[in-house]
Amino acid sequence: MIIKTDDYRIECIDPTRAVIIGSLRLPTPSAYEPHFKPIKEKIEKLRDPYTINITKVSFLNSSGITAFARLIFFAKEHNVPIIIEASETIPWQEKTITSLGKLWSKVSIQFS
Amino acid sequence: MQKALKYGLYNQETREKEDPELSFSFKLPLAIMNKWDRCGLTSNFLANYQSATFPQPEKTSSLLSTIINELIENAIKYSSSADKQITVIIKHFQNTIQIKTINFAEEETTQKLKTYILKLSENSHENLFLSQLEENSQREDNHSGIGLLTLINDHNLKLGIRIQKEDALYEIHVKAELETNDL
Repeated sequence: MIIKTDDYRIECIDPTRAVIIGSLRLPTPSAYEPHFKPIKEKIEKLRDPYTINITKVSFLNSSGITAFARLIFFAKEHNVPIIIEASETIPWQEKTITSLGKLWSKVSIQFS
Repeated sequence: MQKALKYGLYNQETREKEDPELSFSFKLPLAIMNKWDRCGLTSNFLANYQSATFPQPEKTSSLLSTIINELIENAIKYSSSADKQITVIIKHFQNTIQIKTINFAEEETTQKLKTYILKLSENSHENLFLSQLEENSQREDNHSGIGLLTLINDHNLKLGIRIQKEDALYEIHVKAELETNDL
């Protein structure tokens, strides 16, 4: 499934991998739910690690960080390890993604 | 007039006496900002303008836009109603960029902000950030409560909050400062 707007694009066709691109600044954490639902649907069918590539996410606001944390807790409930591919050249990712990695021991972050 | 409640930078107001090298102020009517994507547009514009002279303008703009956007979103979420406006002020001092928002809030939302300030004062910011995210995952509340916390915890900013009762409403000032040496 591909969700596409003028500001962002969420691709989750591959059963083990999602790619998120663009600027995500939705008004509330629940506004992210329909966009992240296809990712949750993939995670609940898995036992192997699931990868989320955010190397081209230029902005994610605090509502998005909350929604992303909910994804991590969802994966934890299903015991599916999460690999986050991030970019250390984008300021919010360098700091915030490292903090999100502390939410669960089975979250690994790969910076490029 | 009741005494203002102050947190962080507002307990050390020395900077206010300095002349900034650059200063501008934007008034944003909430009726316009209800089109939510204008928060991002405004933040990107202010950040691009401010970062043009820095050695890494794109990276600086990205960081400033992240900070300005969180402050604007925070001011809107704590604002009283659509007939009001928020103000964004950016000042560039010699080694510091200061970003400030001013908004008006009702009693109930002001109480939430006061509770938040108390949590900021009493907890380590990283622990508070992680516990707030865990708490948020278990409820459907639409207020994430981590906007200002992200700024302090992840971006190493100094934060100040000032709450002053003005007639039936409360005037809320939130300001963040970052050192330009880090940019």
